[in-house]
Amino acid sequence: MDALLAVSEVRLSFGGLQALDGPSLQVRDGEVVGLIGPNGAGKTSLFNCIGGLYRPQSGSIRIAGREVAGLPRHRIAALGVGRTFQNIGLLASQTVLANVLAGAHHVAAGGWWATALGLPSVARSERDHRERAMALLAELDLADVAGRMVGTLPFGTLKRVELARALMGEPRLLLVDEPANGLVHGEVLELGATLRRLATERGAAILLVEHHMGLVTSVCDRVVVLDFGRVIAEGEPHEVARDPRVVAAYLGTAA
Amino acid sequence: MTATSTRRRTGSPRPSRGSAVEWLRRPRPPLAPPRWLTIAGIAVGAAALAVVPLVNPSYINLTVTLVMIWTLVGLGLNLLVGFGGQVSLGHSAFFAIGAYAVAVGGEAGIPHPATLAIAAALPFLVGYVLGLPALRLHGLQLGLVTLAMAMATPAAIRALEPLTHGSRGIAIDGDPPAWIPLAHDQWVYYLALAAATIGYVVTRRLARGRLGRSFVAVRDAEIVAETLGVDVWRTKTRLFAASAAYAGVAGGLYAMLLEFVGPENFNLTLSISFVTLIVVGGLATVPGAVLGALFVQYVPTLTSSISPAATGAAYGAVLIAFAFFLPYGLVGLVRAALGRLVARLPGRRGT
Ligand SMILES: Nc1ncnc2c1ncn2[C@@H]1O[C@H](COP(=O)(O)OP(=O)(O)OP(=O)(O)O)[C@@H](O)[C@H]1O
Ligand SMILES: [Mg+2]
Repeated sequence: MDALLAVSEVRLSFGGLQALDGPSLQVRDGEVVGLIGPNGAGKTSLFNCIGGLYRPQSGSIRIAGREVAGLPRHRIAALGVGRTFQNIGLLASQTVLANVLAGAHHVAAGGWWATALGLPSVARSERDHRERAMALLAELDLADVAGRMVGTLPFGTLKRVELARALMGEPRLLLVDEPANGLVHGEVLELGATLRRLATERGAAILLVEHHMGLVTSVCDRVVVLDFGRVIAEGEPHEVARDPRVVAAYLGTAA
Repeated sequence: MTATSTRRRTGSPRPSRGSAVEWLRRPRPPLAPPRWLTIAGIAVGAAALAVVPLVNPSYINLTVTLVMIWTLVGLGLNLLVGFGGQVSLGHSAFFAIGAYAVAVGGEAGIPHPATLAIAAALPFLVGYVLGLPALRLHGLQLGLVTLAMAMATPAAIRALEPLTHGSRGIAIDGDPPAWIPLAHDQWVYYLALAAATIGYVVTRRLARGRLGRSFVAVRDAEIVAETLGVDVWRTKTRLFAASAAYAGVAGGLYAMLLEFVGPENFNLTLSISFVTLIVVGGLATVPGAVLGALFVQYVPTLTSSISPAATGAAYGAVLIAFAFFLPYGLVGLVRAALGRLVARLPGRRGT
C-alpha cells in the first residue's frame, strides 16, 4: 500500500532563499515520523506546503494518493489533515472550548439551511462534539481551563489546546509543529504518550517537528533530518542522533 | 495540572487588575441563565410584545415597529461584521432594495406580505454578487467600497426613474388584507414582530454552533480557518448575502410602515446608524442588535430635541467612547454587570 503522505522532491524558494531543496519523505498510517533539523532547516515550510499555505515551485505532495498542490486549503483539511502551528494559531477572543470545537468543522453536521431551520441532526452533532471536546480536554489535562479565554493562558497550555483542536477533526494525518515548546518535563511525557496512543489506537499518521530530542526518540518510529531544505539523514531515532552529519548540522548552527 | 512554563506568551496581554478601563474592556462569555429564567423571560417578553400594539396609540406602535426593523438589520449586519469580520458601511443599499421591492411589487399588483419575500430574495442575490469583491478586499478597502455603495444609493434610485419614479417616490398601501381586523400600525407591527423573532432565532442558531465558530475563525484568522476546513470563499459570500436579506426584509417592512419610499430615505446617515447600532449593541453578540436598535431609535430623538446637528455629534462621540471603553457594546456592559449574579442563580443552565 502507498504511504498516506508522500512528499517527493518539493522545491520552495523565497526570493533567493531555497527553503526546501527537494526533500522527499513518506509517512504511513499509524506511523509517527519525526522531522528534525536546525533552525531554519525548512521544517515549518514543509508543513505549510503540505497544508497548502505555501505553494511549492515544483515537486509533488500526495495524501492518500491525491495530489494536494493547488488544492484549496479547506479541501486539504477535508482530506483529513490536521495541524498545529509553531506560533499558535488559536482564536484569542474565544474560549478554550470554542477553539477546540472549531476543530470539528469538517466532521460536524450543520450547513446553512439545516442550522437556520434548527434541524435535530445539527443539535445532535453539536452535543456529540461538545462531549468529545470535553473528553479530549480532560485527556490533555485542560478540563479546568475549558471556559477560559485563550488570550489569558500561558504558551504551554495553548500548545495543548491546539493539539486538542487538531484532534477534534479526527485527522488521518496529523502535523504537529514543536508541541513540547513551553511544556514542563511531566507534560512532555504525557504528550508523547498521547501522540503514541493516537497512532496506535486510531491509526493516525503523525509528522512531528520537535527540538526536544527526548520526545522524538521516545515516540517516533522513524526520523527524517532536514538541513538547508534537504534531507541529510533518515532512520531509526537513536541511529540518526549519532549520525555525524546530523551532529555536524546541529553544531554548525549552534555556533 | 496546568502548565507553569510561560516562556512565551500569546499576543493579547493579560488585563491588569485594578484598572476600570481594562475591566470594562475584558471579553466575557455570554450570560448562561438557568433554564427557568430563560423560559420566564421569553414568556413575559412575548406576552408584552403581543399586547403592545393593542393598548398603545399608533405613534408608539410606530416607534416600537421601527425598533424591530432596526433590530432585524442589526442581526444580519452583526453576522457579517461582528461575527464574520467583513466591514460593510453599505447596508442602507440593501435596505433600499428591500423597500423598493415592496413599493414596486405593490405597484405591480403583488399582494403585500408576499412582496416581503422579494424584499428578502433580491437583496440576497445582490448581496451575493457584491460579496464577491469582499473575497479580495480587506478592512479599509472593503469599508470604502461599501461606503461608496451607500453614497450612490439615492442617486441610483433617482437614475432608475422608470421603476422608482425618481424623487417623487412611491406611495404604498400598507393596510392588512380585508379579512384581518387590524389597523395599519398594528398589522405592520405584527409583521415586524414575526420577522424580528424569526430573524433573532435564526441568527442565534447561525451564530452559536459550527457555523458561528467558522465565522469567527474567518474573522480572526483566515488561514487558520482554512486549515480547519472552513471554505472562506463560501462563508464570506453567504454572509454577505444573508445579511443583505435581513436588511432587505427590514427595508420592506419600513416601506410598509411609512407607506412611502423616496430616495432621501436611504442616504448615508442610514448606513452610519446601522453601523452605530451594532457597535453600541455589541459586535458579535446576538442580543446586541436589540439594544443597539433601541439606541438608534430613541437617542437621536432625544438629541434632535436639543439640535438636529446633535445627532451626528452624539453618534460620533458614542462610537469613539465605545471603541475605547466598551468594545463589546452594551451587551458587554450587561455581561460585566450581571455575569456573577446570573451565574449564582439556582437551576439547570440552558445550553
Ligand atoms: N514566508 C516566508 N518568507 C520568507 N522566508 C521564509 C518564509 N517562511 C520561511 N522562510 C525562510 O525559510 C527558511 C526555512 O524556514 P522554516 O520556518 O521552514 O524553518 P524551520 O525548520 O521551521 O525552523 P525553526 O526550527 O526555527 O522553526 C528560513 O530561512 C526562513 O527564514
Ligand atoms: Mg519551524
